[in-house]
Amino acid sequence: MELTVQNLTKQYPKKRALDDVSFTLEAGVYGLLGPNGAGKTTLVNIIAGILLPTSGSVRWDGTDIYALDWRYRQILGFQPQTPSLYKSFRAEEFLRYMAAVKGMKLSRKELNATVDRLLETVNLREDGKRKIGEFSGGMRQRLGIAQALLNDPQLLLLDEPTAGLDPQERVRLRNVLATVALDKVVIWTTHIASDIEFIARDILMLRAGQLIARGTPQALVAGMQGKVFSLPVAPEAVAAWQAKALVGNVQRREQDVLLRVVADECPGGQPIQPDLEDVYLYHFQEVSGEG
Amino acid sequence: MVGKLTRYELKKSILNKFFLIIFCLFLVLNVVLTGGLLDYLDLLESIATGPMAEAAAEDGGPSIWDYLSDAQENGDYMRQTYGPLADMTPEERTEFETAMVEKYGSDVFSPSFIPTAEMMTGPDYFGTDFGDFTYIGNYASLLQKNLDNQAAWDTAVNAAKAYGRDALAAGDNYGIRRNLQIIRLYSTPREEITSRTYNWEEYLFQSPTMLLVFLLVLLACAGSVTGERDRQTWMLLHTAKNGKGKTLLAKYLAGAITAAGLTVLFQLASLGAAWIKGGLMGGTQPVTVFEVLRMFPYPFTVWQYALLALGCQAFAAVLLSVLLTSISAFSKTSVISYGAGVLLLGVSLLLVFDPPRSPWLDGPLALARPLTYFSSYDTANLFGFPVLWAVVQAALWSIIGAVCAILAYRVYRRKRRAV
Repeated sequence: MELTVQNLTKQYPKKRALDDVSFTLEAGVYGLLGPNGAGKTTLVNIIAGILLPTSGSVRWDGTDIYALDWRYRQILGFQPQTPSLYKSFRAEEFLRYMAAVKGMKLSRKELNATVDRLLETVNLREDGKRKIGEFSGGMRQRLGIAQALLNDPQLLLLDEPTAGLDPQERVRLRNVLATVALDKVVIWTTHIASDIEFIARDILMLRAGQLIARGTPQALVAGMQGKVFSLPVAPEAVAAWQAKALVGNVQRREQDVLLRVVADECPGGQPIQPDLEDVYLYHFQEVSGEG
Repeated sequence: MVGKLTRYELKKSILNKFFLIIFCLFLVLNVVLTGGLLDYLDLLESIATGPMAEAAAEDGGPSIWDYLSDAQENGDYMRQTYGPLADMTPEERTEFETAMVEKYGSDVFSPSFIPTAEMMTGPDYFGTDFGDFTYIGNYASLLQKNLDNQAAWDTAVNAAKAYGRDALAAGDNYGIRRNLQIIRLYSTPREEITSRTYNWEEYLFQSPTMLLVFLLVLLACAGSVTGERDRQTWMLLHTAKNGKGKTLLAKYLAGAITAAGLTVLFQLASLGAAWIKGGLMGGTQPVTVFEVLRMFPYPFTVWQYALLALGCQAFAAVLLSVLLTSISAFSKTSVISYGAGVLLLGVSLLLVFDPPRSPWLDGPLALARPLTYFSSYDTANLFGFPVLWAVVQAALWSIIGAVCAILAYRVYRRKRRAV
């Protein structure tokens, strides 16, 4: 079980979305971290086989995914970013339909059991008979995750799966994926570091189409030692600091304001323990405002 | 698996509120238009204010339903009466005609004869309680029509013999076969005695039913593939095992089932509307009873022709669904696919109502109006063989539809995210 991405490049008419990206993944959860516009969705779509790269290849266990054709799609689970789904379908019905599209040969009893289990997994059991048109964005997102898990895929691609989920649901999703990912390759794209901080085996950081870093969360955080500072400043100085340094947090206190500054140097600042969010800010500070 | 996918595709395309509302509106419109709304209003007006109302007021007399019931009874009675005439040999028929002339004079077979007092009061020729003139009038007009037919048929046979001889001399295979077919066709004895027909013309030749069906097919099929792109659900389909081939096949099947189902349903509704309007009389009569089908090449009854027309119309609707689904597979957005679909439908309908000189250029919906091909005996020359244009059109468009579907399949399989 190995996914190999080799020298992947995607050139659009006015933009290079991916620039010579290469990596190999084995079983486990992988976080694909980057700001909006970094090329995460482009990369995931190419891996899913719905977008052709300009150059480079994607291989599953050494074979090109286009040569594998339906055999690759059979082991793939994909949750695209914000699909609208079918509003006139009920949630259960949608999963049964997707089971047919995925070519799952199950008896009616087995299919019902699978659908019930997945609805339970994404906390939609009570809403199984409701029409998707009545669902909130978060509920649709969870249903999308359920369909991705339907065929028990070996490769699971989740594009911003926590968008629209409340904190409780995010935790629930993290736990679900941590459980099912034992024998799968899971790629989870996000720009929210905390989503993947505790479950990712590796984090791949993508910026402007290039893979700029890869490592375990612990290693990436360790690399930030001495680059995160706690700095008390007067309230009137906050704006000036935000303009000249990367400020990760602003905490108002009685006498002053405590800033969390991410920088190579910070005169007057007290070094503190970094976390993955600091890593994100440090790497993406130049592009984080691109939207 | 394809069957299951087709069921879901049907749900996507037609089991939604918007489609169902339009469907119901069109169905009602179809019944009202085919039933003859204006005729119906006129009839109501005459019942309310005209002589019928006066007659009803005098003796508490007949309602519209009584009149309709009478018409139905008369029709049954006439069919029963004329039945034996159809089995007469030419000698018996000549004998009958001679007897009629002897009894009522030579004017008896004139279409505009005036019944004589003798006819009105004379003994019933058929032993019924109806005046003889009723039967004589009907039979006379039929004989007149059949004499016309006979003359036209004789002309056709003679011409075919002459052209056939020329074709034989020239070694023209198509000419030989075609003229032989004409000779055989027009030499075939046909049922010549017919009774009245009632309300069939409106149903067979004047109904707007197929126009409404085509609009619904457009609604159901033009967005069947592009709708997946609009919803972004195409990404779910294209990353699933059966998503690239069987889902498209299911969309085609769902479109075809929708088209055929709508055709049958709407035509049945039209038939029902015509029946409610005042009954359908003469369904078992030869279809040549209609002037426009006098040269119809097969010995069909009206019912059989209605079934043939239904088959042709269902074919046209299914073909339209195939073309629209293909357009949808080729298009990037629903706006494009619906726009192209409207264009296709508009041009096709234009070709139906204003046919080009060459039948080869007839559009895909030409068979929706089968009268075009069945009102005359005309054939296409296919590799030296004369083939009826209806058959040629069906074969030609089946091939074009299949090619479109195959191309659409290839495009659909390769279709990727645009940006």
